[in-house]
Order: sequence, then structure tokens, then C-alpha cells
Amino acid sequence: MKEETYFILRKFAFWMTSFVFIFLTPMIVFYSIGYKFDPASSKFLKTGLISIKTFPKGVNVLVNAQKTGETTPCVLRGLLPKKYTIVLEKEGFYSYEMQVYVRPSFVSEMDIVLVPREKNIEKLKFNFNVYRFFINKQFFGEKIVFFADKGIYILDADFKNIQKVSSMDLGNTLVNSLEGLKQYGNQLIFWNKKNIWMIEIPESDLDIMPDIIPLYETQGEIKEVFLGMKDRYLVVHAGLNIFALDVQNPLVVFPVFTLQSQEAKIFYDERTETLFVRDSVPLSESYSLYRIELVPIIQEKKEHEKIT
Amino acid sequence: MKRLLEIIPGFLSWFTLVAFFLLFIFRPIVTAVIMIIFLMYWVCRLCYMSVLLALAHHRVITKRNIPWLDMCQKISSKPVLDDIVHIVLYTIYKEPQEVLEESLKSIKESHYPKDKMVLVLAGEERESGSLGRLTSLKEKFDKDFKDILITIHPENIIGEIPAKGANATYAAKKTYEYLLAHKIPVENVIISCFDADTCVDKNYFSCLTYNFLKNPKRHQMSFQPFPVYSNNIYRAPSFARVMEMGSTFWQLIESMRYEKFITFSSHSMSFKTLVEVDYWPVELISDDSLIFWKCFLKYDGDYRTYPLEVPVFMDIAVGKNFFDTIRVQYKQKRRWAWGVENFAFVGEGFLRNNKIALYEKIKRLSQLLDNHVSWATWAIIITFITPLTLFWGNLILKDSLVLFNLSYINSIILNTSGFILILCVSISHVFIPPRPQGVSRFIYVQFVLQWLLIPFISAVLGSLPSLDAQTRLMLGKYLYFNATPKARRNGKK
Repeated sequence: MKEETYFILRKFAFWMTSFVFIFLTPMIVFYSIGYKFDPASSKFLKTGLISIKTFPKGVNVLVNAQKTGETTPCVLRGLLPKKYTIVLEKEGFYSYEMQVYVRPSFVSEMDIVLVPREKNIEKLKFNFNVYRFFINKQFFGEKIVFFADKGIYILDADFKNIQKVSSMDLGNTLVNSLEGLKQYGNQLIFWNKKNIWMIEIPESDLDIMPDIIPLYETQGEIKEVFLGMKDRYLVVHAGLNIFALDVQNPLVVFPVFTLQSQEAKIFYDERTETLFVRDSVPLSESYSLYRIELVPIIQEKKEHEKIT
Repeated sequence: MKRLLEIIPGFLSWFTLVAFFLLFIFRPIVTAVIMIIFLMYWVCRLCYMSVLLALAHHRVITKRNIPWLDMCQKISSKPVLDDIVHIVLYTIYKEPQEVLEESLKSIKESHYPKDKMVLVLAGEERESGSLGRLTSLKEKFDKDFKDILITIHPENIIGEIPAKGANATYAAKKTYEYLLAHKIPVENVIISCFDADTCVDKNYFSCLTYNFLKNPKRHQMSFQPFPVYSNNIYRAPSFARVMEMGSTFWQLIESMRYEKFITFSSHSMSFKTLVEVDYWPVELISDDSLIFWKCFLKYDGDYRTYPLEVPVFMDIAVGKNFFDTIRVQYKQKRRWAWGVENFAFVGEGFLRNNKIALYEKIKRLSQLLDNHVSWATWAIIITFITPLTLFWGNLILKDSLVLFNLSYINSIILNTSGFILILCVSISHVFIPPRPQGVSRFIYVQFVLQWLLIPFISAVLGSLPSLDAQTRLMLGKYLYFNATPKARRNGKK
């Protein structure tokens, strides 16, 4: 190619890009601000847009009952300021309808989750009569602990693995009286208003099934149970007493706090090993909050045990 | 007046950045509109530059290997090939011996009669042992050329700064004495002023001679090869390779804009013209571009730079380690950006010259200003200020249509940049020398992936050194010449 040809090509590229810049930039700026030419009124009108995101993606979008041909995620541009009826349709999901008001030079955002029509239903493959289940949150996901006529089981959340904990049928009445369940190491602790029990989770189904050990029984009423104090003690709120029960040695029980009122509430913060109590003030009708750090109490107790 | 002209580029760059910054805090909508215009401008400009790069690349690959020497021999008008004498001037300061030897070897192996070539090895007195080093080089290559001259530039000459230009001028003056003594007419002499690491293409001198001979205005023209920084490409860190390949591409792009193309780094010109303009400037750093402007002023605007179709190969600036390479690269780019001193030099020159048309003066000064202000600001605006505007805008005006569209246009910019990166990767492939033994094939993967560093590099090693140079010039804190370290062969210095 001759030098002149390069020169001509270069000039052509220069004028082309200059032309694009000079003519396109004002149009893009006006368009970005929201202006749109309306042939009906022969005027420039200010518009807005609707940004639509959905889960799942690929949902068909209808505006005022008209198909747009757009699928989500999408942006509906150049909409005149007024109210629009947006319908989101996808096969296998319920249609979603929403009224959206478009303001000039503004973005109206829709972020929608569609509900499927057909649910993926899976039944437990064993023919158990399940009385009750608890969700046990663990570091690697959640486990389901359920009580059935064939015993106590631990099940993965995806129903893939099941592990037998006990063959004992506790009965529908007792199981439905349970107030809570917690896992401590390889032990399950569960309680109702009168009793606290513990059972060891066997390593495998082939192991000998362990017995259910009663940890505590009261004539009063167990209100709340927390696992705390380095995961070694159960902090139990029963009647007017708050006491700590050594999980590994249930005979060791020592009082933490004596409440004034039956209406008292407690909360145990496992992170800071602190007990918060709402209780009535002695010789008064008002309630107050108490904050009790439990770790020093346990240390005192242990030192006392050593001496004695 | 000189101080005012020195202040203008730095002031404009800082004004642009600060104005953008303040606007985006207090008027995010206005900033978004300005950003859209700015980004559109850069999309168009990048597209235009990509076309220029593709054209320049085509020009180089189709013309680089044509038989230039045969074409020279076919020129019958005076002067003819036999009349031409080449002076090849190497300015040398502490460069390793093997770097110099490879440079001289490349000249020795070039397709051009060596009996028409005089080498000038221009050493510095401030480098101890310089004379001995250059003498041993002379002994090694003496028989290969018409002659080899050694000059040692004295230290502390009044009115000079310790820079390449001062050394080159001293050597050129000594060479002029040599030419007079040997009765060689200066109008038939072409001088090439090279950095010590410059290795020429085998066709460099024949291509240069052809373009010199065929052009009637040969004394009003500089000849600029495109520098390819590849001598140590297999030893340099990725970011340094990208940086220097970017410099090569920039020179290729500039080479297509004939009317604003000026000399850079290693270049050639008529010795007669060099004498007439009183050689390279001795009190300024950017001698390579200033020599063009001296000639431009001397010939009242009737002077141009011709882009040669052949390359010269140079070293990538590297340090002792990764971080030292960043430092070295930064200093080198700052020195290049110090070319902003040209604005004051040219501005003053234009005030004194009444023969150059006012339009031409305004056009040239605007081009200079645009080059330097863009260099210092655009990468900072695109890499830092645009995302900040989007972030800030989303915090305070989440549902604004303009800010929503700005992020959309910004994504178009990124896609355009992706296309340009593909173009860069494919073009850069042409300039990569054969892989030496002991270097893994995996390096070719690096050669592709390295281009992803562009956004970071263009801001940190592109705009910041330029902003630094302009700020120093604006504040009157003048830069001193820093010789770039050269390394070859296993990173040995």
C-alpha cells in the first residue's frame, strides 16, 4: 500500500470517529438523562426505566398485558412517566404481577423471586411414625433429629444419610411434651418441663444402642435450658432457681442465681459466657436487668471442690 | 513567560482531576453527564487509535523486509548511495559491556556497506574507566567499520546539565571536526543518535538511506524508527513488558499521524541540519524531542519527522527485583513525561518566530498540551474516578437514571478495551523475538495474560509519573537526568 493510501485510510478513520463522537454523544447524553422523542406529540419527553431482576433468570416480561420479548434480567427503557402493570411469567412458576410507577429520569427496580408451581416432594423412605423433629444447627449444615415409634434418629437435611441414635420408643405424649433439644459433642440433650435427659450418639448403627440417661428431674417447672460455660454445663432455669448442671457428671449441680419472680426471664450468651436476667427488684414491683458472668463462679466452685 | 508556560500543563491536569473529584462529591448527576461525554470521547479515541495501530502494523510488516539497499542503488539523482556516510553515535553511561557489544554487533550484521559507517562511542568523564572500556570496544570492532571515534564528555561544563543531550552534542561537535578533517561534506552525512542498548534491524540503514536519498527535503526531516523493547523481554516482569510494549504501540500509532509525529529516543537526521540548529540541547533533559522542535523553529515550521518502516530493538527497563523494576519503570516514564518541558520551549520559540502561521502554532501547542494532559489524567479518571462516582452515586442516588446509564456506558468502555486488548495481543506477537533456551513455553501464556494488567499499569505507571513530572515542572522543581539501568543475560547488570 502506498503512503497516500495510509493517509486516506487514516483520515477516513479520523472523520468517522469524529462523526460518531459529535453526533452520537449528544444523543447518548440526552438518552441517558431520559429524553425520548415522541412521534405522536413531536416532542422530546422525559422518560424513566424499569430494571427487572428475578430468581430464577430467563423470565418473560409483559408490560400492560403486552409481550415485550425481553427476558430477565432486563431493563425496560424509554418508559413515559405513569403506572405500569408488569407481569412476570415462566413455565413451572406462578405468574407474578406488580404495579410499578415510572418517574422521569429515575430507575424503578424490581427484584423478584418466583414461586414454583411444582414442588419437589421427597418422603422419608422408612415407614416410621414420626412424633416430632428438631433442627440441630451444626458447622457444616443442619441435621434433623426426629423421634419416632422406632426410636431416635439423626437425618441429613438432604435426606441422604440417616443415623439411628436409640431404639427406644418414648411415646407420642412424652415426645410432644419436649421443650427443646441440644447437641453437646456426641451427646443429645433434650428436656420437657419436668425432666432433662441425655443420650450418647453411637459411632455407627452397628454399635450397641445406648440408654437414655435422666440428668435432672424437678417438681417445679423447667423453663429454659442453655448449654454454656465452655460447653460443659447446662444452665437451667427451673422455678425460681437458675443452676448449673455438669453434663459429664450430673451429680454436680450448683446454684447460680435465685430469682424473685415466677415471671423472670433469662438469656445466656454463650459467646461471652454471660447470663442476663430480667427479674423483679426485691421489695418493689418493678423489674430490672441483671448481668452475671458465669466463668468466675465455676472457677470458684472448682477451687472450692479441690479444697474440700 | 517561560514559567507561565511551565505551569499551564500541570495546572490543567490538576484542575481536571480536582474538578472531577469535587464535582462528583457535590454534583454527582452533573459529573455523571460529564463522565458519559468523557467516556464516549475515549471510546471514539481508542477506536481511532486502534485503526492507526492496525494500519501502522500493516505498514511495518509489508515494508520492513523489502530490498531497501537495491532500491537505494536505483536512485540516480545526487547524492547517490556511495556519497552517503553514516555517523552512528552511541551515548554511553555505565551500560554493561555486553549490552554495548550486542548493539555494535547488530550494526555490524546490518545490510549496509560498513565502510560508509563511522561509529562514535560517546562516553562520560563522570564514569570512571569509561575510556578504557570504550577503547577495548573500539579494538574489537575497529576493522568492521570505516572508523570508530571515542569521545569523553568532560564533567561540569558550565551551562550544561548531566544528561544524554549534553554528551551527544559534545560527541557530535568532535565528529564535525573529524568530518572537516577528512573532507567529508556534511550534507551527505546522516547521523543516528542511539541509546547504548539500541540494536538496529538489519535493514535499518538501507531503509534510512533510501528515505534520505529519495526525499528532496532531506535536510528538513528527522527519521524515526519505531522502538521495540524486546532485547530482554524474556527476563523482564510482566508489567514491565506490557508497559514497554505499550510504548512501542504508542510510537506506531503516532507514526501514522505524520503531521504531529516527532522524534523519540533513538533517531536519525541530516548532520548538516544538526550543525545548523546547534546540536541537541545541553541544558534540558528531553533532548530527543527537543531536537525536533529546534529544527521546526529553525525552518519556520517546514520540518517533519518521517516514520521509518523498520524497528530498532531496545531494552526493557528492569531493576534488581520486582519492586525495583517498578521504581525504575516509574522513573523512566517520569523522564519521558518530562517531555512536557517541550511546551514551554516551543511556546517561547513560537513567540519569537513570526514566520510560522498562527494556526500552525495554536495547533501544535494544543496537540502538545492535549498529549500531556491526557497522559496525566485519563487513566486516573477511568480507573479511579469513574468507579468512585458510580459507588458514591449508588450510595446517595441509587435510583438516578443518569448514574444507571453511566455504569452501562462504563461497561461498554470495558468491552471496547477488551477488543483493543485482543488487537494488542495479536500485534505484539510480531515483535517478540525467538524464545531462548531455558525459557519455558509457559511464558507465551504470560505474554497473553499480561495484557489484563493494563488498567492498573496505565494508571500507576502511566498517569502518575506524568502527573509527577508536570507537578515538578509547575512548581519549578526541575528533574535531573536518570540513566535507565540496562540488563541482559540472566538479569546480569
